[in-house]
Amino acid sequence: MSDRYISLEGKVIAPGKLRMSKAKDMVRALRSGLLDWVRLIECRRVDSSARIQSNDEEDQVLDVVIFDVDVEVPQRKVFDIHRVERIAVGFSALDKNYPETVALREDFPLVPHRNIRLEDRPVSLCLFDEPYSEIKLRWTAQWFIECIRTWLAKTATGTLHAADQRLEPLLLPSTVSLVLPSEFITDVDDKISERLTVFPVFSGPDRYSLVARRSDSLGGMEATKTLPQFVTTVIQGDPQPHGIIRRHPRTLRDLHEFLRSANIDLLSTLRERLRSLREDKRLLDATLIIIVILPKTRDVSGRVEAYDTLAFMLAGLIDREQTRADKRPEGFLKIREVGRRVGVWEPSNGVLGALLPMDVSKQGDQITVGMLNPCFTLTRQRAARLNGLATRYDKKITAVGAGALGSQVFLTLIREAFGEWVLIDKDLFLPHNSARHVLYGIMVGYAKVEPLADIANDIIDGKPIAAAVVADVLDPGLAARDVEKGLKEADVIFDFSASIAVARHLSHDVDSAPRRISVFLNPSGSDLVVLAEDGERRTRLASLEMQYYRFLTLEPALRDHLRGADGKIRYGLSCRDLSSTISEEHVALHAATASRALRRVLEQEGAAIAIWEADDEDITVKTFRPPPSPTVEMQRGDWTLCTDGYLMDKVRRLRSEKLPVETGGVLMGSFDMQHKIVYVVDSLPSPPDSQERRTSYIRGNAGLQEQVEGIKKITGGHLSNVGEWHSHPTGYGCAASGDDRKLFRWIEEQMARDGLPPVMLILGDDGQAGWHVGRILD
Amino acid sequence: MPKLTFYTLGNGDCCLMDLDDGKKLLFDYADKRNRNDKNDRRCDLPSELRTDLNGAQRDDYDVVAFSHLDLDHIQGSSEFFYLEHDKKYQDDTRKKIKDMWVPAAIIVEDADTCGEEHLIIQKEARHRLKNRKGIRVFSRPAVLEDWLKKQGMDLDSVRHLITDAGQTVPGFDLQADGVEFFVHSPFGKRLNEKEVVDRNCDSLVLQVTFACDGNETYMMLGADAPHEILSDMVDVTRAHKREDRLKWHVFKLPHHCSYLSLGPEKGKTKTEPVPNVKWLFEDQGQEGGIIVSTSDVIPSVDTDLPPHRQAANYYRDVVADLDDEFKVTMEHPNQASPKPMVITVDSLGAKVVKRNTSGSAAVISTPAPRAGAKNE
Repeated sequence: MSDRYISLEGKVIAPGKLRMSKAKDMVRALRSGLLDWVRLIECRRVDSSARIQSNDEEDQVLDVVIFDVDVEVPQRKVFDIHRVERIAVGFSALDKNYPETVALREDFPLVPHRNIRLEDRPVSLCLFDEPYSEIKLRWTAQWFIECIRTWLAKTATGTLHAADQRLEPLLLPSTVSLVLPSEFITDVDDKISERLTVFPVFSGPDRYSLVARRSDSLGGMEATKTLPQFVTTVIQGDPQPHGIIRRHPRTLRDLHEFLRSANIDLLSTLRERLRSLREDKRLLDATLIIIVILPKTRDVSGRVEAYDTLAFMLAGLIDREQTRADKRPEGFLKIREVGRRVGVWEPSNGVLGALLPMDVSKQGDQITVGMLNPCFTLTRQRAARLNGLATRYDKKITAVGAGALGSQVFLTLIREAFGEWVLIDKDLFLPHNSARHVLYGIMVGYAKVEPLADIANDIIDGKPIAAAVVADVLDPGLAARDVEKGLKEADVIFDFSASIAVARHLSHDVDSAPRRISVFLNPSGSDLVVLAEDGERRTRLASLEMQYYRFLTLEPALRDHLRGADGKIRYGLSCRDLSSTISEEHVALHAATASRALRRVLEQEGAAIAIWEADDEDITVKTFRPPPSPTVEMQRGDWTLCTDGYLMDKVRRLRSEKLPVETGGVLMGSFDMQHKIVYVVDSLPSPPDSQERRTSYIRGNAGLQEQVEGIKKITGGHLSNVGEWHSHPTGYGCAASGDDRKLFRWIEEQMARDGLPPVMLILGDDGQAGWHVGRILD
Repeated sequence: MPKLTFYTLGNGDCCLMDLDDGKKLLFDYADKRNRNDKNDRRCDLPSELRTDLNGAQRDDYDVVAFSHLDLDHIQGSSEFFYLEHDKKYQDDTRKKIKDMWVPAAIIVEDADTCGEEHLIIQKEARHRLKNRKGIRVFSRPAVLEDWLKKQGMDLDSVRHLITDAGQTVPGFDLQADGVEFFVHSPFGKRLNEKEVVDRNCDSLVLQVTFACDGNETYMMLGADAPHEILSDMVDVTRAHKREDRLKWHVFKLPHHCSYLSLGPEKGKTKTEPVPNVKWLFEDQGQEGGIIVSTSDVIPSVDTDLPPHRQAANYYRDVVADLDDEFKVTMEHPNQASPKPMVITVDSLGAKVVKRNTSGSAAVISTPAPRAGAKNE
């Protein structure tokens, strides 16, 4: 038993006569003895033909190297690749495109990953999915030969590519892309359709793409003001287990024959549809695009799992030179001419006379077919998949703030089709914003959120993925209802505002269920901070903010975290990024980190505090993740006391360590005067000059001032001393004694000078804690 | 995926089997290379095996099977393996054997006349059997009875270390381990109701079954079995209606492509197999079958010693189908520079690996030659 091979004709030449260095290298490699599993058969010089074509149009003569390869094939093969295959590689002297590589065996299987050519055999191997210019960088003959052998071996085991991968006619010289709306297939209409408006987009005198949009998605003006250059007609075939186009159809008749296996009568359908157009002069001079949709099944009886879309344009039967010229879209046949060539009408005296009956002897032999390369706009699913996300987060996100960081995080997540968005911001986009914002020039003057939503909806096809609400979330005015809706109906609220006021407002004033997550940069832009509430909002944003300050005081590496780019710490101001001097490099770096962090946080229900610190010199990033502590909240008169497990554990531990004597110290925290909340997050050690006795405690002051100043400096004044605490000995609860009341009054007098309430904590047996804010609790 | 490596040893056997769970099994060991002959194309077996073990960061084999005591199956093993019976074979460069597999002949036969190497391996096998550890003996249990009695040992105390023909080797489960070993030889041939003749001289013949994702792939390891043994083996297996146990996708030929494993007559151009052997090769071979001859290059002229071109011609006819292969270790991938042949097994069956290793990958797979300002 032996295999029969297709002859390439041309003439056999001595290897020395090869013109192309790659061809010579190949022969050298094949003869070197360094490569196993290969045997040179012969070299030929042939003219480009249907058997082996030149991929460089300007050079139609090929140096062909023919050789046998041994293939690693398994015993149970997926495709019938033989242990020995004969391969021909055709090199053009120009070396501008891939050498054409074909398998010469007469019955080589029509495997999935091959190039579409005028004849189905010899099969042209589709070896690469990279541009030739990239491949050339690592090209050696040895490497190329191994690529061929690997292609064959993997084809034999069916592991070359995912089984459902579409045929990619990469090397088709006349490839013109036709971009179709993604939802197009699920919405097929059997008419010659004006619902798609097709524009050519030129990128050079003979290079163009065709972009189809739904006519109803364009303003009425655009759709009608010019005569349509193209019209589309869509034909759907019966479900197929396999592709039906095995080679490039040459003529309309050829295509008709192919489509019959999908139960499509192309010529009759076309005649029928063209006839209805005869009166519509607007369309007669347009070029016809035939779109064929073939539902694909995994096996003969299976359900439809995917669709193959094929698209064709029609040209007259002309010679090669003309074909080249006719690569411009206007070189293709007008509908007027197509109708004549398939026997629908005949022109007479400048009008089209309908043929009744139609002339079915005209079968489209005089019409050549150009294959288009259909591709689809980006859907949510595809975007997620291309980003390596197995499942898409499809919940509602309301984002407050659309500044530099927010806009970049937003578009990063949009490109991953992450979430369905409402953007809320009042700011207008001004020229200086371009230094770090994703918006640019032509959007100047618009409210930032509007062009941002437009861009998002342009990136992701289908129903809008983002909506804009132009409003100040703190003072929404006329937009109050939209803002409320956005904040109530969301599954999560992202706070990109870089404003403490907004974060606190979202934390306390807005009554809605979704967890809040704040994302902001430190004043110099070197560090990113993410504060995330837990799913049930037990630990709220404002509490996380305080814990974040506490962490800054505990972590020596973050001592300068709140220092501005000018090296100064701004007291009393918002410490987050406002229009200060920040490098776009930092914003871009942290936008990527923040996007990933947001995705990760949403995979879990727990609260989170995270800080990413970028080294200014080499941009290495260090991460800090202090564990959030559960919030402890209680009402004391008009005041809300907000502390957490960290502080309570700490003071309880200090009490028991000092028993039998009392101890105490200064409480650190912050007052929110607007919301009447006092946050207590830490205590300073009992100063060394304190007097700790069995039933009394006198807090000393040695070194205290210095310590408090240090903490204020690190936290930009956000943490300061807010009150005092002391412990009661064993056998006592936390009820305030007479001395305690005196102490409280003293605190009250002192704090009154700042307009702040007194805060005191007493700790007794069994972990009892007595909090007194504003007045003594009886 | 399970991997088989057949080393290029001329007329000599050594097949390394790597299993999915990391187990390494070695079938025979024949270091045949002449170190003084620069042109010897046979591989440096100890060095190949050491490199492999280094890569796996281990210094032992789960199983080393010696099919019989001929030199072309054991040569040099007393220099390579760590042997438990004598301290002089125990330096730390030696490779340990967790379980040694031997046919009963290696225990019971008089090896004195066969040479030094044979004696050492026999001593090791006997030592292990006496200690009842690290050994598996293949035969009818009764065969060992006399020898055990001489050692003052009781058959029942070692019965768990003996596997008879028609059984699968304990410790390897097709479901759990993806591999199973079925013992064909040594076997006892039943002459009549009562009498059984033991073929004590028999070498160890196994059918290996690999299971990958529900697909089974079979391999015959033929040792040096001559046609008489193969023929009897076929009779016995058929009598038990277990023809499946003679199916093969990969066949390691007996005796380096000797005509004697096919039939009594060499033949002029092609050896004619006896009917049972013919059936074994022609009817039991599965699609895409791979026949492996662990031998020298097939000569173009008549030779006394194997490989015999007439036998090779027969095998070439067996693999006449384009999907089948007849592979000769010393011809793989070519005669000029043969390299160890690797066969992988997965759900698509077995395939001979045919890859050109890249030079840069090869450089880092071995130590570099010495460099330095001063020659030593």
